[in-house]
Amino acid sequence: MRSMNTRREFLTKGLTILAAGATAPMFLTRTALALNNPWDLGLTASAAGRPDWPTLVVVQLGGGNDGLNTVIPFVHDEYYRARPKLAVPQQKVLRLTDEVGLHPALTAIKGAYDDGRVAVVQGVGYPNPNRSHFRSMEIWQTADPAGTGPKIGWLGRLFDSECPDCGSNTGMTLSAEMPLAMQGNSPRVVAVDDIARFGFHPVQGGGIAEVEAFKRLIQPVPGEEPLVDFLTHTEMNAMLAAADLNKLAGRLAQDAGSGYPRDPFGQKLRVIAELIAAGSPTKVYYVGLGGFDTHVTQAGRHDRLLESMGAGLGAFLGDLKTKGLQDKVLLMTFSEFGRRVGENASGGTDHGTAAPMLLVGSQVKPGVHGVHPSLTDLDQGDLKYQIDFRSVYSTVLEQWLGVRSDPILGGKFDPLDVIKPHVAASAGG
Amino acid sequence: MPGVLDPFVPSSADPWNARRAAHLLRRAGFGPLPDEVDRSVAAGCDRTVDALFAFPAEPAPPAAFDDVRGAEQQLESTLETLRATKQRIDLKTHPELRDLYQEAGRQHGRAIVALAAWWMNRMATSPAPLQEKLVLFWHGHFTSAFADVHDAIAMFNQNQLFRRNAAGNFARLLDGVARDSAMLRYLNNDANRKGHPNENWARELMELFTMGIGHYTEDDVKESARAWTGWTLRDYRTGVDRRVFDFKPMIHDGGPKVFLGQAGPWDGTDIMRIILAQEATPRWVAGKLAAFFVSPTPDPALVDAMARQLRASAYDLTPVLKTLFRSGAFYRPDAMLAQVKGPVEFAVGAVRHLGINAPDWVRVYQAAGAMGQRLFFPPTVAGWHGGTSWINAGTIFARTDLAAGLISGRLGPVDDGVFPTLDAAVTRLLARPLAPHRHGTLALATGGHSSRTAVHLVMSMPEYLVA
Repeated sequence: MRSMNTRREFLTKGLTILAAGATAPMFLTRTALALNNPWDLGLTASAAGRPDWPTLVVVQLGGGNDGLNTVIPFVHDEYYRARPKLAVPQQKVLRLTDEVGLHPALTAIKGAYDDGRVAVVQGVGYPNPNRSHFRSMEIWQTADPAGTGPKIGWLGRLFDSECPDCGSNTGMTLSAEMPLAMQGNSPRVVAVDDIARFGFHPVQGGGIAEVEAFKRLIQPVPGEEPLVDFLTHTEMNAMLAAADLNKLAGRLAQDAGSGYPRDPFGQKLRVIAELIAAGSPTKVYYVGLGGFDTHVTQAGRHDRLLESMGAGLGAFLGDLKTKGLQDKVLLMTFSEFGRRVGENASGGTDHGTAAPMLLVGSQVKPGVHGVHPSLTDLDQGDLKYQIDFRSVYSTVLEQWLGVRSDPILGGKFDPLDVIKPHVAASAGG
Repeated sequence: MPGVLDPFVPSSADPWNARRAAHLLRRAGFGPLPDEVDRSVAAGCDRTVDALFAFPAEPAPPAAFDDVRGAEQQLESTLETLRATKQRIDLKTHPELRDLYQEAGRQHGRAIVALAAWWMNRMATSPAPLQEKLVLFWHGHFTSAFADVHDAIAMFNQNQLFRRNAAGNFARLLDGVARDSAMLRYLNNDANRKGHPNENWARELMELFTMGIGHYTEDDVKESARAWTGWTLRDYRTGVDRRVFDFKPMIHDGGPKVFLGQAGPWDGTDIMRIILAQEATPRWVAGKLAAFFVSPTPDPALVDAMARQLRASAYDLTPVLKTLFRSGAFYRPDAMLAQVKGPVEFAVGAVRHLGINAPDWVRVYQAAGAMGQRLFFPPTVAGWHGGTSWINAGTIFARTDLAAGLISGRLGPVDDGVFPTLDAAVTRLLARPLAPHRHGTLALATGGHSSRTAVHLVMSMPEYLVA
């Protein structure tokens, strides 16, 4: 229900944008409604966008990934005392430092770490941690722990403030549902479940004439009911996005191999690599991997999920390198919370708090950053966070995308030293 | 002083007309047809509302369940034989068991799809679509997901529980849910035992099912979890017994607890009693009903009035819903056409509008999944967010694709006779005229004639996406 408030704000602001033409996307400021052919892609799709931006891939681990079994403090006895069944035996841990190592299923990540492509940020969370999936995920996606602001995503705010002339594919999620993180005041994001089939298909006998008629029928007109107006804009946005994607789909490689795992997560990363290589204007991709809510029988299930994640990320990195794109892409993983230090009686763990994030790419400062939260000085059985997640966001915004983070995050959050200096950081705060 | 739930009083300035009747039938069902709207106009608001609540007798389970029961029986008779030999039974020593387990799993996977198709068929053909709309509402409220339950029969039992109590008493429904085997497994209360509490059910019960965030503390979650210990399944090892509720005193923590400020040796029944007595509960439930039936951002005064009535009726839902459907607030401009049709509602309505009597419901169910609503697979325990979150560039095309697929006749024969003219098509699909500029553009594009193309265009327009 909270996301509905976002929509109502968008609806009122959307109408204002239409009327005032102030920060409207290019196709509206060109008084498209007065043009005979507002669909002339030469006028509309060639919006400036942000060609200066490198690409960001956000990987959401849904359900609350058990950080303690992902980046494992194998040197601490408390870890083994608290998890007699679930603790990973010391000799199986893939050591990163003298203190922590990776879960054995993450061999691909270990390989990337050894290649200097992984920065582990430990103990990430926020004050007054919330253990509700829904609420904590909302906090991570809005970057608003107090919950007082409008329900708009941090990436949505990025697009609104730093990308007013951007086209409709600036952000892309490879799923049916658009994450709140990407939702802003203007529609600059697309949700694409299946690239090949994305678009409006007429009925048999309808042909191009039907497609053209549909485009005319969904042109926005001032004074319409707010909900119909929102839908009209979304449909128009969708058609523009489809035109761009159809062009790119033609260039996607046909081979089924290419070293990626066959599961949906791996295949989505494969599509992303292809889109980047084909010159897609999309600058932020969002991918989800779910199933981490391991209250019962965690062993086995968690292993398989981490394997999926690791294999996908490993293949993605290798593919980027082959395509010569590795310097242009940064990938970030997060989850709505970690899990409790002590295992429960069902062979699982319950909702917790702080957890590690991974930053993956050739431009990270590799290594294990931050301090591992204490396993004895706990907050009701949970880890105390060391780094506010908004510091990770501000790092990505300022040092990767080169934009000021304060207006987007509603405050100053000290960035971390995890990204190598590079060209795009010139405009950073 | 006028109350927000005061009945709608028809007058010559504000008549009970097709527009209002269609609004009611859309919200209380799936894709109303012209003759249904006409009958409702003739009968008047009161009689129409009453008729909505004439629910039929409980249906039998789908025929497809015979296969899954067969697979379970085979597995269990094999297990029984093995147990009688007193040897150690595991998949290493008895590899044939693995095949039987996998076959049973496969049958459940087929059965859940058959169940979804069976349910969508009920939505389209039941004499009381409001009942099925409410079952859909409860499925999104008291969520359970097959992906975690792995048992189609358990999911069916939960579906029947919702059907039996659709417009009944919320307290009774809540009690049924607390003992429901699908819920016990989905939120792991079946594993919640004394000394080792599992908080999943205790938390979501308050956060999502009754009061909402902000009306309890983490300590309340912990104490509630203790109270719910022992509410479990009779025996998880056999198909039949893992679908039967049992209270096991041996694993129940009967010790003193403090829950929402009240001290006592509480168990689950007490927890429900205390929760139901809280101010927040009727308000939360009323808020969910208003968001589903009225508008995504319902008027707080309306929600308050519904909450008061829910409390006064001791949680009986029928009087609250009847009052709502008869109220002036329900027919206000801010409630009309304020909803985005959910995927299942869109799909079932489209089938009815096209006059397809025996569609391939499995394909329709899959299409609704592509639109973001796969029955029995809610994306999270919070269910489906609904409203404009249904709509994005991708799901829009999933809708236009399903419409094209249905119109093509590939999913079942279409009754072309229901669209003799363009106006008839607009009336049947929208139950209201199009805005002049849209109508003009449509007439130009179609030459003023009805055709499959014209029908597809109307079904792809924003006006068809809203309810």
